[in-house]
Order: sequence, then C-alpha cells, then structure tokens
Amino acid sequence: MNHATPTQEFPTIKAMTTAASQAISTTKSRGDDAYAIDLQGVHKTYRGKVHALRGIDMRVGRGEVFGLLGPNGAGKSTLVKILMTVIRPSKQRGHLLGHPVGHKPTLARVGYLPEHHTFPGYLTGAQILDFYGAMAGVVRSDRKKRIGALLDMVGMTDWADKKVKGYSKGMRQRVGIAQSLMNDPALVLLDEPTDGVDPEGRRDIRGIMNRLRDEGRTVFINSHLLSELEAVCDRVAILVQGTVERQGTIDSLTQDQRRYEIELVGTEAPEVRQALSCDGNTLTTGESLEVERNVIRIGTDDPVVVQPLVDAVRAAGLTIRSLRPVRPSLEDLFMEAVRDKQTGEVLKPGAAPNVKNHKRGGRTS
Amino acid sequence: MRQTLALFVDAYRELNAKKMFWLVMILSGLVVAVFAAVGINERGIQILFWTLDTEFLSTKAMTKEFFYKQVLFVGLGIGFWLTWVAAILALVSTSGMIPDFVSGGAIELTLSKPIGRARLFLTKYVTGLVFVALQVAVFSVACVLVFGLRANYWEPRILLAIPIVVLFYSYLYSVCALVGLLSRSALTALLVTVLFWFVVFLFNAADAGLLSEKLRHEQMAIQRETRVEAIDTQIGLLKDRQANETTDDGRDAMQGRIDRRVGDRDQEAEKAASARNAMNAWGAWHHRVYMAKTILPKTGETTSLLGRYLISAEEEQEHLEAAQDLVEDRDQPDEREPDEVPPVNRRDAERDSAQDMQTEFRERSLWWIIGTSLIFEFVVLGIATFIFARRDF
Repeated sequence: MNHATPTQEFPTIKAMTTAASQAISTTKSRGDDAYAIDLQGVHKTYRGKVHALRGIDMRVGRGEVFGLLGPNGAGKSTLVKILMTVIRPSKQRGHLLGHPVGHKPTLARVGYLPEHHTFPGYLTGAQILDFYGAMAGVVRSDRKKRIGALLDMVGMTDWADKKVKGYSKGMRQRVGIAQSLMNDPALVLLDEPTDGVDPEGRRDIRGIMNRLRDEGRTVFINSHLLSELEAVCDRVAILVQGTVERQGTIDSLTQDQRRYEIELVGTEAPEVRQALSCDGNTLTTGESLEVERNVIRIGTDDPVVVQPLVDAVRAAGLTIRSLRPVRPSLEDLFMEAVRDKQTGEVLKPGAAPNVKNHKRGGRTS
Repeated sequence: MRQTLALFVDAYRELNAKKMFWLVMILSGLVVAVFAAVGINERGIQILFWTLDTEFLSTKAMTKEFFYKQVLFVGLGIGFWLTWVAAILALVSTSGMIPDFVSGGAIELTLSKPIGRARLFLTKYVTGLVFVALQVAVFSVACVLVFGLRANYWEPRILLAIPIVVLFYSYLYSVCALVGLLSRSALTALLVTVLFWFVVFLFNAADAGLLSEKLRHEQMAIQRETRVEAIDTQIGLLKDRQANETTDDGRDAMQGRIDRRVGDRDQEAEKAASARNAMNAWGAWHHRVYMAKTILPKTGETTSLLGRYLISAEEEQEHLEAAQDLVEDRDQPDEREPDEVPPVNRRDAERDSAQDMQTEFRERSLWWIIGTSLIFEFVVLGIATFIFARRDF
C-alpha cells in the first residue's frame, strides 16, 4: 500500500501553502499536484430527479484548511461522500491528490470522518483504530505505534480499552477523528467534526486542526459552526442548493463589505449630514456613505478615506464616541449567500428544485 | 490481504460479543457430552452404566463404528443438531451482519477505505460463515476425540463435516445476505431466509416422497410381472399334466385348475400394468420436482454427502440386511403349498424400493448436488454484489 508520510510530501509547510495559493490563482483544468482536491462540474441527481449537486467547481490547495459551508440540504455531505466513493456522481471531472475521484488506492492517503458515524459497539476505542487502520492498509507495526499516539492526541487514552457502546457522543467524535488519522493521511475530510462535542472538546479539535495544518496536511471541513470554521479555515466555499455560491479566503470574500463606522454622541442624522455637507449616499471619492441616527458608515477599509470625515465632524463641534473598522463575520457572509438575490428572502432548505439551467451565479475570490 | 484479515478479525470480535454464539457453543458441548455417555452393546443402548433394551440399536443390528458414525454423528450431530438447530441459531445470529454493515453511519467509513466494493461485500459475506465454521469445527474435532477415546474408533473423515456444513450454510446465507442488503433489516432477512429454506425443504420432501412412491410401484410391478411369469409357467405345467391325464374327470379337474390360474394370471397382469401406470405417473411428477430442484440449492443432499463419504454402500447394505434379519426372525413361518406361486409381498417391495432409493440418492452426482447449488449461490451473490457496487449510501 502506498503511504506517503507528510514530511516526505510536504517539505516546508509555508512553501507549500504559498505554492497552493499561487496555484489557485492560476487556471488549470486537470488534476494538479498542487491541489489536494480539484473538482470540475460535479453533478449528482438522485432518483426522482432531485438535483443534489449542479456542477460543483472547487479547488483545495495542498496544506490548507478548507471549510465547506451551506444550509441543510445544500449538498455538502453528498459532495464529501462523492470524494470518498460512498456516492457515485452522475457526472464529474475531479481529482483527489492528483488522481481521479473514485481511484480507490488514493484513499489510502485520505482520512475521513463521516457525519453521524456509528462504530460497532462491541469494539473498544483502540480496536476501532486498529480495524479502520488495517482497512486503510496500514501495516500492523505502524498501527500499534499510532493507536496510542492518536488516542493521546484526542484525549482518549484512559478509554482506549473500553467498549464504544459506553462512550458519549463527544467521545465517539474524538475517536472518530483519531480514526481518520490512522493512515497518516495527506488529506483529511471531516464532516461536522464538532457535532456533539462540548466547548472544551471543540477547542481541542480546533487545536488538532491547527496541528494538522502545521504538519502540512490538507484539512477539508464540512461544518455548520461558522465561528469554528472562521477560527481555523484558510479558505471557505459556500454551497447553496447544489452550487458553489462563493469560495475564497475569508478576507477576500468580505473585501467588498468592509466599512468604517463612526459613532457620535447625542446627535441625529440631519445634523450629521449637515456637518459632512453631503446629502447623497456616495462620497465624492466614490465610497458609499450611510447615516443612521448618530452612526456614520463608510464603505471602505482604507483609513485614509475616513480622515476628512472625522475632521468635518469635529469641526462641526460633534463628539466622536468611537471609530472602528467593521469586517463582516463569516455568519454575515453566509446569511448573504443563502438569501435569494431577487426577493432577499432566505432560501428554503433542501436541494434545488428541478429547474432547467438552474444557476445562481457563484462568485470566486 | 491485510483488509481481508481485518474483516475476519472483526467478524470474530462481533461473534465473540454475541451471547448466542457462546450459547450454541455450550449446547454443542452438551451434545458432544451426551455422545460421550452413549454407546451400544448386545442388548441395546448403553447410557453410562445403564442399558436400555433396544434390539434395533444394538450390536446385533449394527457395528459400534456404524452406530457412532451414522446414528450419532451423521444422524443426530449433523443431521439434526448442526444442520437444523444450530443452523437456525446461526441464522438468527448472523442475519444482522449485512444490514448492520450497510447501515447509515457505518458503511461510509468502510467504503471510504482503499478496497473495492465487490471485494468488500464478498469478504463480508464470507465472514458471515465464520459462526458456523467455528461451531462445526469445534463440534467435529470434539466428536473425533470422543469417539476415539471412548470406543477407540478414530475417524478423521468426520472432519469432512466442516466444509460440508459450511457449504450447506453458505447456500442459505447467500439469500440472507441479498435480502439483508435490499431490506437493511435483520428480521426481514431472517424471515425470508427461513421461508426460502422451508420451500427448499418442501421440494426435498416432495423429491423423496415422489421417488419413494415411484420406486414402490416399480417394485410392485416387478413382483407382479414375476408372478405373471410364474403363473404362466405353472399353467404350462398344468397343461402338461392335463395332457397326461387318462380320464375325462382328471382332465376336467385339471382344466378347472388351469382356468383358475389363467384368471389369476390375467388379474395379476392387470395389476402389474396398473402398477406400471402408477409408477409412470409418480415418475413424471418426480421428474418435474427433480428438474425444479436442479436450480435450487441442494441443502439435504449436501449434508447427506457426509454420510456418503463416511459410510460405504456395503456398510449401509449390511446394516439394512441385519435389520431385515431381525424383522424376519419375528415373522410367522411360510405356510404356503409347495407348488403355489408366492403372493405379492408388500414388505419386500418396500424394502427393495428403500434400497433403490438409497442407491439413487447415492448415485446423484457431485456436480448436480454441489455444482448446481454453487451456481445458485453465485447467481444470488452476483446480484447482491452488483447492487452493493452500484448503490449510493
């Protein structure tokens, strides 16, 4: 079985991350070694003409932590299952670690934690790691070494020889994560890894993600917990009704919505507008301007643009309570992505309706 | 190989965690203990230090080896315990293996490993046979030891029970695996498999019953035809005697006897023809059932192979004759007139037809018994593997 250790495959993490970022910015059409995941036109239609995926294009660079977001029924788990050969795609041209999706030997280098996984209750934590390690093709001597280390990493050493049927959900999740690392994978796909885990456990899992990234592994996380993703992900993709609505770094995705807010003391909008000598919603320099009671919002992340406004306000004798840059959270980004562009209403959960040439117009940054 | 071994180890761990596995193992141990306590002597069955007067189960009717091989091991151990009681308990225990294997949350992890779906499913299927393989292995080895130590009868061929019983169980388990995969329900898989087994049992019973009737009528027809020939010979003799008669009265008397014999002959010929017709009718039905059985797994015949390999046709014949001798010793002496043609003997016809039936069953080819059963199994497994390989989980 082919086992590439992370150190062999990833000489320096920084160099790889940079290379991945550079590679992402270029347009390549075939599976490239710079990408851990390179998907093009992934379609999945279930029986009854339910279109779960409508042409997913997605690239995940090697050595990065990538988050996949989306409302219920957006097709996130379907996409992950296609990558892991659990579900057969209707149509796709994708590559995983440089090999076509569905190439079974490649899976020896991929770790996977499914959502709502169940382990046989008759096995102990150590036996689970041993069994799935063997199924991944790991030799016995390596399994023996890794079981102790991984259980220690997820804080389950004391429970190693206890039957899984006595575990809590969080404990099962910890063992599940350890299981996904048994084959020393270059790519780890975690489907809702913090599901059922307490805050302390979440912090531990976040630490594990960072550690995996530091070891040069690619981590692909599918999660609902946006704050968790925001804390660890280099890049994210938002999946809505079977299409990628947006993908890129959090910074780049929020670029357009960054702004400065100036909060004044005891004043109202007309006075403020008078002080700014501006009746419209755009500054002379082109940035958007919004005044709501005693708050001024300027659509820029450039502090230089804000300075004249501060001067004007102070010159008019108004008192500034605060001046702060505002960056939208991942949640804001997510909520915007799942709103219908025309109606502004939050889209209903589930797969997209069967509409020919359904396209929501995804955005890549 | 590593993955195959892991699946087998997992199957053992799963069985080890089941109470039913150990319950059946303990019960198997008890059956072997009973075997160790039972023997035969000249009077009958000996249980520890006590003897029950059972002439038909004594050294007069059979050898000790035959008793251990046929009566205890093949008849009770395999024929009743392993292929009925233990097989049902094994089905109860293993019917959930495939539904559990393909259940949501479990199958994703296994499918995501670098192992092909067909290999994965077929290996999982084979691990389902571990239950029966372990049970029959322990039981057979224990029987070899018990018979050897107790009666100094060492028969390693008893171990042939291991592949034979596993093969028999594999026919049923293929159906169980297919239904388990389709329904994802252990209970449905169990019920459908037991129902299927019952259908196969009905076909086996119909095969045996119809063949028995056919052969019995054949023997009756042969006996009656033999009798017709004997009466014809007798009529010829009577006609010779009539020709030698010097008086009219004597010739008339002889004619009267000839006429009666002719009447008997015609009546007998009619009955012989009737028996032949019945034989043909039963034979036609038996042929249909036999053809239908060809596409079904031969559960009964497969387990009977053990008897075929352990007990030779000569041994079986000797036993039948010894048993027949015991029966005839008790019969009333034949009080027929010396020149009278022997009447039709139903008991003889039944005995001969039973021997014919045993011969027919013994002559059924290994290809027909195992080959066609394996074709059935491969077809069922092929369908299941195809479904498993193409299904989205």
